[in-house]
Amino acid sequence: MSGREPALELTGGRGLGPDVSGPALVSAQGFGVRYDLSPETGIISNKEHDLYGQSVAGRILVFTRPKGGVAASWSLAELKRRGMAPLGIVFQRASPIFAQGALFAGLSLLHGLEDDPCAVLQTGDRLSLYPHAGRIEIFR
Amino acid sequence: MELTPEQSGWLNGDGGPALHWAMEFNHELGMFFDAPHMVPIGSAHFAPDTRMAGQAGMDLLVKLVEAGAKSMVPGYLDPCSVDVGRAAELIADYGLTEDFVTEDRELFRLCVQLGFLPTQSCINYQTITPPRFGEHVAWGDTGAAISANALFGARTNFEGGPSALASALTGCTPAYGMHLCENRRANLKVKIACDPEEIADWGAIAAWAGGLATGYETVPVFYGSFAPPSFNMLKQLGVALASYGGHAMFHVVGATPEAPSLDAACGGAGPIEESIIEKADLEAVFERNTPSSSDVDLVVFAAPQLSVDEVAGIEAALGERRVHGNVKLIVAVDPQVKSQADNAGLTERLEAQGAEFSTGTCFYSEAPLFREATGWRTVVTNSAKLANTLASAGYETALRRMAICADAATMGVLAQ
Repeated sequence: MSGREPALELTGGRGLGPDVSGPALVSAQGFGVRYDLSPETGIISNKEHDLYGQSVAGRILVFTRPKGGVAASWSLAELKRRGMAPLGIVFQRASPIFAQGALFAGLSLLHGLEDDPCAVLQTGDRLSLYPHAGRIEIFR
Repeated sequence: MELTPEQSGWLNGDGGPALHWAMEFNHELGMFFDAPHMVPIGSAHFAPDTRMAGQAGMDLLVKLVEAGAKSMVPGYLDPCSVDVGRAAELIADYGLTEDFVTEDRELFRLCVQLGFLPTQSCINYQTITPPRFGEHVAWGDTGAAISANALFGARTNFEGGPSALASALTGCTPAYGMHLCENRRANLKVKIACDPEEIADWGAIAAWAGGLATGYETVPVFYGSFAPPSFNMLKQLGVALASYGGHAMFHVVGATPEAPSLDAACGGAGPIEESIIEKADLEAVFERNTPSSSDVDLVVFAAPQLSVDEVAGIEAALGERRVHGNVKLIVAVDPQVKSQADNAGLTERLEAQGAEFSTGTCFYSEAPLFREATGWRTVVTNSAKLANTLASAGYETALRRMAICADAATMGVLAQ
C-alpha cells in the first residue's frame, strides 16, 4: 500500500502472525468453523450467517466474537495448505482456540482494538494488518 | 515470559525438534495472552478430529512421531470420527469413504504412538480419572474442558489440537485465561425461576443463557430455589454453555465447588446485572427447536457421550417398545461405557429393541458426512449441544425431553 495514505487507522490491538494486506470481508456476527464454515470448500455454509455463500479465501475476515472449539484450532492450517485460507482474521475479542488455530496455520490474528472493527470496517475496504504493532490501516 | 532453565533449553532446541516445536508453540501463545509463566499440568486431553485436522494435522503428528515425541503426562483421546467396529457398514450405508476411515485409523494410531491412551472419550472425567480440585490440566474438547473447570474446580483453557499436543509433550501450558483465579469468577448472574427436572431442561437453560452474553470471558452463575441438578445434568449444562455461549467456566450455587454461595462465586466482583429465566423462557427454547416435518429420521443421544446410568435411562424410557422401522436410534458412548453396558446386559437388550450403539465417537463431527448418502433430515435429541451443532450441519433438529424422544423413536413421528 506504499505511496497512499490510509483513509483510517485502528490501533491499540493485540495480534500474532505476519503483516498482511488484502480485501476485507466484514460481518456483524460471530464466527465458528464447525458452525459456520464448510472446511472442504472454505465457503460460509451456515444459512443464518450474514456472510452465507462467501468464500473466505484470500480475504481478511472481520467478526464480532469467536464460536466453537477444536475445529478452528486445526482447520485454518488445512485451509491454508489447500490455498483456501483467509489472509487474516480480526475479532472484537479472540478466543484461545482461534489464537491457537491462527498460530498453527501461520495466519494473522488481531483483536482488542480500541474501536469496534465491525462498525468501522466495510466489506471491500483494503486492509493492511500489522499484528505485532496492534494496528490496521484502512484504504477505501 | 519467565521460563525455567529446562523450558528455555527446549525453546532453544536443546531437547530436539519435537520439544522445540511444542515449546515454541506454547511460548508464542503465552506471549499473545500475556501469560507470566508456564504451569505444570496433571494431564492432557487431545482431540484429533479427522475431518477438521486434514493433511495438515496428519503431517504434524507424523513429524512428531518421527522425532520420537511422547506425552509427559497421562494423555486421553477425544472421540474418533469412525466407530471402527462398524466401519464396513458406515462405508456401505452411511456414505463414509474408505479414505476417510483409513485416515481416521491412521490418526488414532499416531496418537497412541505419542503416548495417548486410546480412550476415545469426551467424558474422561466421568469414566476414567476425574481431575483434582485446583489441578492445572490441558484439555481439548470444549465440553470436557468446561466440565473440568466448573464441575471439579480444575483449571484448563480450551486447548485445541495443536496446543493440547504441545502441552502434553512439554508437561506444561501457559498461565492465562482459566488458569488464573480472576478469570474464573462469575460475571453474569442468572436466576433460575423455573423447575428444571432433567438433562434437556438444563441444556435449554444453557441455550438461553449462552445467548445473553457470548464469549470466552463470560462466566455465568446460576442460582435460585430449584432441585439440585444431578452430575449428568451439570454435564449437559456445561457442554451446552460452551456450544451456545463459547463459555469455559460456570457456577451453580450449592452444586459446583467454587460456588458455596453467590458471593463466593462472584469473588467480590462489583454489581453484576441479573437475568431471570422463567418457565415461559424455558419452554420457548424447546418450541424454537421444532423441525418443519413431524416425520422423524433420527433420535440421537450424544454430545456429550453417555454414562452407563444415562444408557439405562434410555432403556427405562423405551420400556417394552421397539424403535420404529423408519427411525434410527443412536446411542453414543465411549469404549469404557460400552463395556459397562455390555456387562450390564444393556447393549443386548437395547439392540434387540432396535437401538444402535456408536462406540468411541460422539456422532456430531461425522454427521455432516452422513447426510447426503442417507437422506436424513429430522433429528430428535435431548442434548441442546447436539441440536446446535446438527442445525449448522444442515439437519432440522428438535430439542425434546426424554419421554418425547422415546415416543418419537418408537412412533416415528414427533408429538406436537
